[in-house]
Amino acid sequence: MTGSITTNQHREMSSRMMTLILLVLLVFLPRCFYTIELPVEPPPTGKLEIRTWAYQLQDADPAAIAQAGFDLVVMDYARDGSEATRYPASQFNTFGVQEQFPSPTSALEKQRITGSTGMTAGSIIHQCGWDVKIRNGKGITLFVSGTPNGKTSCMPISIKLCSRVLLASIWTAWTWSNTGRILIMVKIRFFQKPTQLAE
Amino acid sequence: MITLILDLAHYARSKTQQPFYIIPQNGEQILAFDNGELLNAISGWAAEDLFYDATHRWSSEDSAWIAEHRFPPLDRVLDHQKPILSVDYVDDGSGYTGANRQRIDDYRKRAQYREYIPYVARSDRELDELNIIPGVQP
Repeated sequence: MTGSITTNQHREMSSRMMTLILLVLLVFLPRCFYTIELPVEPPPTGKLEIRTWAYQLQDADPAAIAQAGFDLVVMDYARDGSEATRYPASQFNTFGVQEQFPSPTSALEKQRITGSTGMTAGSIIHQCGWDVKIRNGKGITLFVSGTPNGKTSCMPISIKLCSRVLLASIWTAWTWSNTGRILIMVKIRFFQKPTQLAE
Repeated sequence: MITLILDLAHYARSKTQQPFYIIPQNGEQILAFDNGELLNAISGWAAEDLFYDATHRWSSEDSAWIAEHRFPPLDRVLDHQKPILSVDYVDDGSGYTGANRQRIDDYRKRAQYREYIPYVARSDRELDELNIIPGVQP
């Protein structure tokens, strides 16, 4: 009987073949109907390689800054802190910067501040606020408002934590480096020692 | 505050394919609350008044507080290969000579010893000019 297949063997082979086909279908069919979302890689942070830096928030002269030779210069986004005197993209382009970004705070403002008590999105670009939590689970409410005098873009904030009020200031500043990037500096200045945050 | 900074970083970096640097300044003690996200997100840290209170050295008590509370978190940033930008307001504007020169040199020496990048700023704290000191900073 060598080389011949009995009816039972034929049925057994057909059954195994059907099982195999079903397994293949079970594995691959769902992929026809579902897309698998891969984790999104976080944007690169970039390695900051500088040897010198400078800091000029007021009365900055873009041409002078460009010629000075510092690797990185922290400067305000506007000549006097007001939206009206914001440095135009063309001036940043003289630094070799490829593009200018909108104020990150103004975008966050739209996402988060709408309806917050006492805060109105409007004339001051840096007006914004966030609700944040710290590790111990106690909420810190952070309110930020712009300075109307326009001297700098400094934004006083108060952080209320368990009836303790810490005063701090924060500002963002456009900065530029001779590697051709615009930088943002978030400045946090605590007027009380921030170790009190942990109390 | 960590969430705030992470939000800023995420928003800005989502707008460009180029590196976008985030450099918080002061308040480095916040790193005590960080699970590593902030340290990963930042590009460096800036710090004022680490060595001098304007044109005066900090008192021994203040220096001890800074050594205990400010240097360790800043050194953590440095350990992650991210620069520390130090600014002290030590230049009284009298020129790079005499006591002013000694103070400027002393500040820079102390900052560089810790591998921080110093910037000598004017003691009026106005930050309304580029403080160029020939032979010292561009």
